[in-house]
Amino acid sequence: MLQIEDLHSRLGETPILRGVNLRVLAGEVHVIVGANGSGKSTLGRVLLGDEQHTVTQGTVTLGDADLLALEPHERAQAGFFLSFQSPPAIDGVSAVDLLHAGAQAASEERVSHFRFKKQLGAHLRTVHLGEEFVNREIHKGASGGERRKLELASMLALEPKLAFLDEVDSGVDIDGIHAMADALRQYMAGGGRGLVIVSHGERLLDHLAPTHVHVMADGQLVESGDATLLQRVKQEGFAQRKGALERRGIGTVRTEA
Amino acid sequence: MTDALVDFTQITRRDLDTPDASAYADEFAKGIDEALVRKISADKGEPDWVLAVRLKALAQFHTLEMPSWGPDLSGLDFGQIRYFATATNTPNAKTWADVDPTIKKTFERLQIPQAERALLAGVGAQYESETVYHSLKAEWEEQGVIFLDFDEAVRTHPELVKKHFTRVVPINDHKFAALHYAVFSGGTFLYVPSGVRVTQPLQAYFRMNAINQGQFEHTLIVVEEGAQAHYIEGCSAPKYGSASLHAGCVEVQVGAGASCRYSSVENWSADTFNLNTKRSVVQARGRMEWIGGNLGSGTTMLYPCSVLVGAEARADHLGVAFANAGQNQDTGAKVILQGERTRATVVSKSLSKGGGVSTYRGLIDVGARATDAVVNVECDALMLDGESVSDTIPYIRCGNDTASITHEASAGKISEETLLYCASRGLDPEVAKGVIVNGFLDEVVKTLPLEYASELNRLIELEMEGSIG
Repeated sequence: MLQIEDLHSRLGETPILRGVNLRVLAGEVHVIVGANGSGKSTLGRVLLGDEQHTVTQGTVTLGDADLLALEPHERAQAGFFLSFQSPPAIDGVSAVDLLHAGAQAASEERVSHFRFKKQLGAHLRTVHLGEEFVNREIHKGASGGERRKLELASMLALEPKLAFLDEVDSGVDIDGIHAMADALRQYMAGGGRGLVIVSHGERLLDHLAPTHVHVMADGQLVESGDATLLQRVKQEGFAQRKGALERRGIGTVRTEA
Repeated sequence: MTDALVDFTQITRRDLDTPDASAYADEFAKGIDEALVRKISADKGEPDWVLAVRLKALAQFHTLEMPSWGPDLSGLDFGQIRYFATATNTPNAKTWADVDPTIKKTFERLQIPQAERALLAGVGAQYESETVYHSLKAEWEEQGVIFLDFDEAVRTHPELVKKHFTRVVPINDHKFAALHYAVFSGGTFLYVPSGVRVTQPLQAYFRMNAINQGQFEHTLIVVEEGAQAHYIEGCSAPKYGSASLHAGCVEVQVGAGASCRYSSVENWSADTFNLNTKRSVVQARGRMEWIGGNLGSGTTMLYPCSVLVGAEARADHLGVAFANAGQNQDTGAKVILQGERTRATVVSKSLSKGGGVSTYRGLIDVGARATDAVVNVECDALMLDGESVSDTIPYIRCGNDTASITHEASAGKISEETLLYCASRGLDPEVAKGVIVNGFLDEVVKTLPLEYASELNRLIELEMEGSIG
């Protein structure tokens, strides 16, 4: 479904992604862990098409679509969803109006505003947000936790093929984590969907059963494995893990000068 | 047929910009002099006191200086404007069937008869210098409400008009007020007696048609003690590429405990100098609301004013201005607080695009007697591209230490992060800008009746077309 091959990018003159390879099939839940600055968030931004990042090499396909050839909104319409760590508030624009406009843009048929609103209300309940968030100005005066929950509800409403969730669990309390895990299970139950979760290895991952775990360092996925890799990383930490990898000669781990 | 339903969103730029034939205009000379002023007065069969006002105003017009501040008015040649023209021999019809068919068609295109049937208490329709249609539903007439073409009101209610005319805006207020009083023609007289609450809006629509036309309608609204009215004004003119002038004047008197809401959507063509004067005097516990959308026009200077003379009088000014390429929207609000515990709110939202210039110019004047007055001003400007300009020029005079005045201003562009966020939900940049602009204006637009809110949204949409450079 999502196929990333040898993806390189720069931010200004600085190389960030240095050859990312990743394949996500329908039904798979991938977790990417890594130290701050290892390139996890950049990967999401590059997949969306943030103009601040320049792709210098590599290919990305989502289904039949050559993702890198598309504008950001076309990538979203093709089924790619990125959650924002700090989504912006937009004056006077409600969540339902923004998301309905997006759903309508992705659909060739008319999307009923009334029905969409009702569904969004249900998704908000799933992530433990009040239904008033349907009509409230999007992200205005909302806490970090509320914003991230609304991002997940947005994902449920837009039904993407591939959701890339960037630290959606930070700043969310334990009840919220349970709700988010429910939301992610509900999303995957929709069928034909894939999930990439970027996290610092926090509590959300305890409630999910990732099919794949990747360690990111210096712009590459340097180690991949099943859920047990998560436990090893948790015990050893990234720095030790990176050292161990280098000693074993795995990956081409580079350190910034 | 669905023509009983009003839907302003069907109106296209072509409906607004396309002129009717205007051979009639050739019979009327351009330029202004005493002979013209006397002719206008004689045509209307006015009493001498009105002619005296006109002649005094003409003298003031010649004496008063052009404004030394604000937008450039050098493109306005007073000698090239046609100050008075009539397009029909049957003015002031009481039914649409009696209106000249061409003119009727124009107003139908602008959805006015449809709106009248659907939601209005009464309608006035002015074409060039004359009112072509005026009506008031019987239930309001029976309660003593007077809603007439201004010229007719001078004839039929001379004492009432004389008592209130020129009391709110003096004839020497400024050069364009003087010009207005010299050549005014048409407009509205609305009188709501004590205690009568007119719950449906009343509307007047002003249409200029011929090239180089001037329109100078006078609107006089008197809302007596405890009464209520909502007046809606709409305006448009076709596009010629040669200057036309609108210098209307609105005088509103709000009695004790009365309330008046004045909503207007001014949508003149880009050729128009819109130099308009609107002012209200509000007695104790009275409330005045000005809700304005300024689109179109080449140059606008418009600063609705509320003078709060009575204790606990209140004014709310909500304004939207959109300056597109080649346009200069110089708009704002003036509030003069004189009574104790008077309150005022000003919310101004301006948009500029394609190099347009949008300026908020405001005056808050708290008098010595205005103990515990409260004023909140909020000005937000959104520039839709790098070449557009937005300015905020607030003046605050405070003559009483107990007053509380806040002024908040913001100016900015739509951030790249916001556009990217919208894109991540599937919105292309053009759709996203539309959604963001609607949201930016929402606070003001939602105060309009639904049909007019839709109209304003539609007009904004027309201005937004091709906003991706």
